[in-house]
Amino acid sequence: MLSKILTASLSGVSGELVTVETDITRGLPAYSIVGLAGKSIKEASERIRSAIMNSGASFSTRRVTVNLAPAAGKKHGSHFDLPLALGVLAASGQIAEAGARQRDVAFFGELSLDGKVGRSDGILPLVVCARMNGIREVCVPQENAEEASLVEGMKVYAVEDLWSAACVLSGNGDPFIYISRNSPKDGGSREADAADDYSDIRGQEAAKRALVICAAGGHGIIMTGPPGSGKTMLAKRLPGILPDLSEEERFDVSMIYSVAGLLGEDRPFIERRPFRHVHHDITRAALLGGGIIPMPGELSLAHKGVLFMDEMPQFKSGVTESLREPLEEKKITISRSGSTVTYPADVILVAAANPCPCGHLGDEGAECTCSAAEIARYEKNISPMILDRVDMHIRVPRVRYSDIRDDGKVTSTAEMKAMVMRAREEQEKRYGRAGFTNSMLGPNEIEAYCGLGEECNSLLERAYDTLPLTMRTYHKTIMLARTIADIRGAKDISVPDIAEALQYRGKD
Amino acid sequence: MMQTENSAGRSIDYEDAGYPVRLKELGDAPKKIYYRGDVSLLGSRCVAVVGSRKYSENGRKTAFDVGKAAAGAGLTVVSGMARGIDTAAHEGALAAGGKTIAVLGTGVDICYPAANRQLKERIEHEGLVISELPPGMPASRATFPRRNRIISGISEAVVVCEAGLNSGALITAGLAEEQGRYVYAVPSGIYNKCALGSNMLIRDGAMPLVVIDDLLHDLGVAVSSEDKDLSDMGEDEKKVYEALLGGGEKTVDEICRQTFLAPEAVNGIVTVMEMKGIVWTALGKIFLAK
Ligand SMILES: [Zn+2]
Repeated sequence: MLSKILTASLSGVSGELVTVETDITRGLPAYSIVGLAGKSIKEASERIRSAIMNSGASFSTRRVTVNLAPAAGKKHGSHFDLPLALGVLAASGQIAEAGARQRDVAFFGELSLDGKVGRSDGILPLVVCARMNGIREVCVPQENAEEASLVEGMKVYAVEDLWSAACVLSGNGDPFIYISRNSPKDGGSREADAADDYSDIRGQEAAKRALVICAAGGHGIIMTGPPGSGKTMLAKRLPGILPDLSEEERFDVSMIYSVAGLLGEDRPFIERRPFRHVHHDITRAALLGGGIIPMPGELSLAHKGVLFMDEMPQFKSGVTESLREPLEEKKITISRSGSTVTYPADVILVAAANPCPCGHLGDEGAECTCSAAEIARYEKNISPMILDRVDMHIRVPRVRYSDIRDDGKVTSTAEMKAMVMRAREEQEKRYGRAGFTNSMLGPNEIEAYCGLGEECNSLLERAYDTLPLTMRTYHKTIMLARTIADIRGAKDISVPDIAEALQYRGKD
Repeated sequence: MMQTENSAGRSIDYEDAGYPVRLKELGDAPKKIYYRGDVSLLGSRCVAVVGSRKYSENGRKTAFDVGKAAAGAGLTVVSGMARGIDTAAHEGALAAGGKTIAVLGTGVDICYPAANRQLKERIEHEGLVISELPPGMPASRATFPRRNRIISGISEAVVVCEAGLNSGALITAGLAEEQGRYVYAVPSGIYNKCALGSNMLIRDGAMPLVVIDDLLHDLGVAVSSEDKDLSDMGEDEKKVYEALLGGGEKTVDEICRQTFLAPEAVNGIVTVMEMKGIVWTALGKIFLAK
């Protein structure tokens, strides 16, 4: 008897519906899978056999042939265990699958030898795929139930073992229907409450101002300062002043985390913009994504959030150069033996650097022990690619706490976010699409959208001669001035906007 | 006057009329000086500004400012075109639109350090590059101390900006002393390793250069101290200027705290003042250009 069980297969974050067709025929005992099953699925047969036997059912002593349809497309993942096992049970007549066939339930889950169903990676995109194919019921591991229930219009059966899954398939018994505790729609934020606030940082108002501009216009920034000046603290709080993720963005980000196996019962979805802190010893694969079944890297885990590259001059140039295309295209495509996987990678780049190898050049608190040649070599180590992608350069000095009066102005995350939101609204009005920011303007668009009055032009011309500016910093200055004007809610770029923007130029 | 010319540059002999008189006072004056650029500068009033290859940002700024002030007052700034302090002194002179002489420890057709190629070309055009070594002579350990006697020899005064214990600038100072030149050293904190040598010069009798104007006064070229034209500045610009007058260098945050201006305002004002040449910025700090 032929049984058909629905499930899905993933490539990156996009899924394809798969039917597991199981047939049992006369012949020598054997279990074979056709239809481009990956290694992880082929190796599942022993696990499935034990799980079935240990659940009190019997594994067929005849010939079992499984076809994964459609045959095109390599299929991976431990979540195939459950549909494969159910296929054997149904094909051998141990459970009736009639009910399920009428209702179209998709099954996902990994089996352990004792018949328990355990969590799988990538449940969210798998369930999204099922929903997009018109399926309204899924059966998932208990531990993935919250994640699966995020998909609207989906009835979620949460199961702990093979038998409860069999009940879902047969329509017998009383399967547990999972009711979500969260909704990605209510921006409710257990996470946000715990987040750090910019009001924790005193005496760095100039850096905070720069970060408002960075967040408002989506501009990449490089912060240079001695160790202990608070670069990491400043960067870490940046997601907090970016606009909240939209529902769609939450899904997009959560899907990446699901595939990476970073969602769980304690964190069923991602609701805040990510902050990913990467160090100079990161490998290319860990940064960009990779592996035999390509997994998302830090770059994609930072999607819609902040990628913080600490100690920028120490990164190997090969690693930074490999970011060029993904940062440009806001996605990364990984090729593996004939197939390609694409992950999104729309990030704000924040880089940090020490001013010199020892870190103390220009620092009053300590003496720099580097030679002039060492310092020159160190500065050259910042990849030209990064300098291209970064619109703002700021210096973050070490703060002498004795200098700071208690009554001084300390800007908070809420105040900064209000400024960012105003600028984002202006940009959305001007460009007519949400999420498009000034940093994405090309040279022609700069001309179209960043018209300068006579006074602004003459200031820029003078700056070009006296400061001096390069052509690259020239365009970036105009883009930054546009963002600064947007923070004021102003239609036209003013002379003070240009003057301020010029302070963020790369000076060396 | 006899002058020979070849592709690498020209030269001037001890007997020539243009040979600097002051240099002739030296017992071991060079027989021939090779040069590129405006040789008449050898007849101008010169002041040497020297220091170590290793330097602090403060030392660099001091050398730049001394070079700029001296050149601005009409003196020719002499230095050795080495990395660090020497380079800053030349750059300061050029920034003032003034004259400068680079005394090389190699042939005049050679650029050492190579990174100073642009600077050397500028000095050849706007100033003078000289050497007693024939063209083609590469850098060597022996030639650099020898050229120091020329640096002090053609100068009326030598200012040591920042010099470590083994700096060639100390040799220049010693020679200047023997040659009877004014010797100044810029005082620095006792923990500044880059300045141990220059501080010791003060202990051993060099004049501490406490304000740059002293040098100009001693050489009789001081310009009447006109305050920066404050009338040319807006109200907020004046506030920033006054905040900087208080003490050397400030970060944007420090200026904000002192003036009660917002960072965006201070940043904009600093840009305008930078363009006017009133302040300059480096390593996240704002300095009065003076
Ligand atoms: Zn250092």
